[in-house]
Amino acid sequence: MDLGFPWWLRVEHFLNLVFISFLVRSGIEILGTYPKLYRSQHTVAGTAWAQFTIQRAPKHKYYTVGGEYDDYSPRLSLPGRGLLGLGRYWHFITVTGFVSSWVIYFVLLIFTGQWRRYVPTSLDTFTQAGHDMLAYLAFTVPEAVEGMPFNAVQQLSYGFVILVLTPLVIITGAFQSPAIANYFSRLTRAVGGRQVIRTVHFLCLLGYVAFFVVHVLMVLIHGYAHETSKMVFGSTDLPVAGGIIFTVSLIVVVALHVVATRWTLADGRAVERLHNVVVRPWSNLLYRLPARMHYSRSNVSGEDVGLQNTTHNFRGSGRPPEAKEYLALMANGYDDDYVLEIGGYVERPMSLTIRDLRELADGHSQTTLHHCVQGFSSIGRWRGITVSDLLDLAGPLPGATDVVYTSFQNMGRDDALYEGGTYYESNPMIEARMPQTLIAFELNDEGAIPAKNGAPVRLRMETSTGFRSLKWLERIEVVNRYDIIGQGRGGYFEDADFYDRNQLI
Amino acid sequence: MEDEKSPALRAGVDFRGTQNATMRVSEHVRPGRKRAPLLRYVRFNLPRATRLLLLFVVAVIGAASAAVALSDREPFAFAAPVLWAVCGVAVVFVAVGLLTSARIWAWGAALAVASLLVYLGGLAGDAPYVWNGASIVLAATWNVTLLASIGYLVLYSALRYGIIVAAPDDQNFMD
Repeated sequence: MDLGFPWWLRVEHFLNLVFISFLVRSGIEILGTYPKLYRSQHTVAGTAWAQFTIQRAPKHKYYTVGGEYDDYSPRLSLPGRGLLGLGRYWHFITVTGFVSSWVIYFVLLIFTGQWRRYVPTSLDTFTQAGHDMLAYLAFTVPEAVEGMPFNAVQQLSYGFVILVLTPLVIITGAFQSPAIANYFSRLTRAVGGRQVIRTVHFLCLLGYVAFFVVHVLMVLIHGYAHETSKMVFGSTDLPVAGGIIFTVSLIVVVALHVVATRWTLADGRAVERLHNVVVRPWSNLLYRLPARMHYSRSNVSGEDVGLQNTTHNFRGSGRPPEAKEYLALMANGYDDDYVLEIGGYVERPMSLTIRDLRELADGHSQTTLHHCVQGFSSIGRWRGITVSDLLDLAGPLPGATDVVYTSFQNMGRDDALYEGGTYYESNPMIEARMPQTLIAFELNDEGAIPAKNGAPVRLRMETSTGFRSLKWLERIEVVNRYDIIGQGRGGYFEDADFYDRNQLI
Repeated sequence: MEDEKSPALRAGVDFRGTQNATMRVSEHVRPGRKRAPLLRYVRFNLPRATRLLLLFVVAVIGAASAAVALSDREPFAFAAPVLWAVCGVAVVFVAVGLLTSARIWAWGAALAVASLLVYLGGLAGDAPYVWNGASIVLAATWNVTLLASIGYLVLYSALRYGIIVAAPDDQNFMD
């Protein structure tokens, strides 16, 4: 069969240029907010194998994860300036196109027989690839294999990128979603956990960049006009026209990046709306994956385990409240004074002390992996009672749709990094009813939760990113609409920054 | 910016003894600029792997030089002793690198430069290229001396710049 360069293959090639360049730039933005790569789930300070920052953290002072941000130039990352939420929006918008395009491409490869262009059908291909490599090293250009559009080295390298690297980057990207990682928790653990997955995702980025550099070099060696004619027309018949059209296409791609960057910096909410239209239809499907993480390498039963896998010093993010009533609670050790109020759209509003919560929890705990939106992870054993059980006690009234959690923390007052008011978060009922959505009052069997981790009581929401697991919990309110609270986006960071309330990825 | 909201500072407690005691410090940012040069942001801390990689590249230079010296083609007059010298130094370099923890990277750079000079000598003489009548294997081997030497010098530059470190050194990440 004549493999040639069918039109859909050429379209795919161009789309990949757009998608991958957007993914790389938005990926760098995401990396820049926690610019460190680890091999261990515990992300212990000083143990990173790579850092991409020029910042040195304060040494004599508690510093939060929020202070890890590095400010990359908008020329490098999309959109730049440490705007993680918008970088994530672009990453997921582009992922939607990239994965859809790859799946369509894969199906077309299979059904048209074009898979032969990438998959070696004989061991001779590997021998020939060795000869071709020698030819390149000898500064000559090897011939294409008979009946193939390119030589054996190209066949193997393209095959690797399309059939190995791309699925790998998609899978490692997917497993950075807390909903996916905590649902397929054994698989997450089997491949080394979140930081290993994050590292592999980064290595995939390096793989794409390396391939891009060599690929462009090869295009120049083989002849720019000759090769771009194939990319545009599927043959080498019109090298001048092919070269011009492809060059114009490259200029269009660059222009797309400039427009996207400036638009994002000027109107982030518009990008948010685009994200909600493009991404939410599939990301909301992840509500069907309840978290079932019980972190232990030896655990095969799914039952809760001891402390052997937990993080000794669970990383803190955010600064504890400085309100007088909270400091008074802290001074008295919380137990006698703290009261959690549950109210709103419920049949039985109630106030619960920590002692009450302990009795109701009846020893229940979960050992789970914390997925910070920036990238750090820690493993904690949380004792507490599920929100679902609390809701059953309180009895939501008909029409109740969401659960709103309010913290003692006031961001403008407590944390120099942020502005604004009371920290709050909300769940749709489906998320509140997840088996690992927990009101926690103890971390790692230490008798309490440390102040930096949300003492005395906090929310744990294992299907979502870390900042949505509200700390320093003051009150729970069941509501029939969340969009009239704050700025109506469902949480402090959703209001003040650019994060999706339905944040399962 | 000083953290004006620090409870400790507001209470008059000041632990500042070093520049970054209570605030973040951005390194390598030139006066009047907002950001550091791009490559300053990249630091890998894989000292043993980096040491092995550097030794491997030198081993490749040595092996390729030996292979060219063993061929019946001299890139220039009296090239064989020079190629054997490069090979010999490479062997010593790799042995020292494997058996001790000495910081020998500048010596490796000198070796890479010597190998590059040999290659340039070939350009002026009768280098074993395919278009000069050499076999593909010999031409490839000859070019490997060039590519590996450039590779070592790139790695050495990255080492000097702080992007990578080789054992026994370490990036000493503190956070």
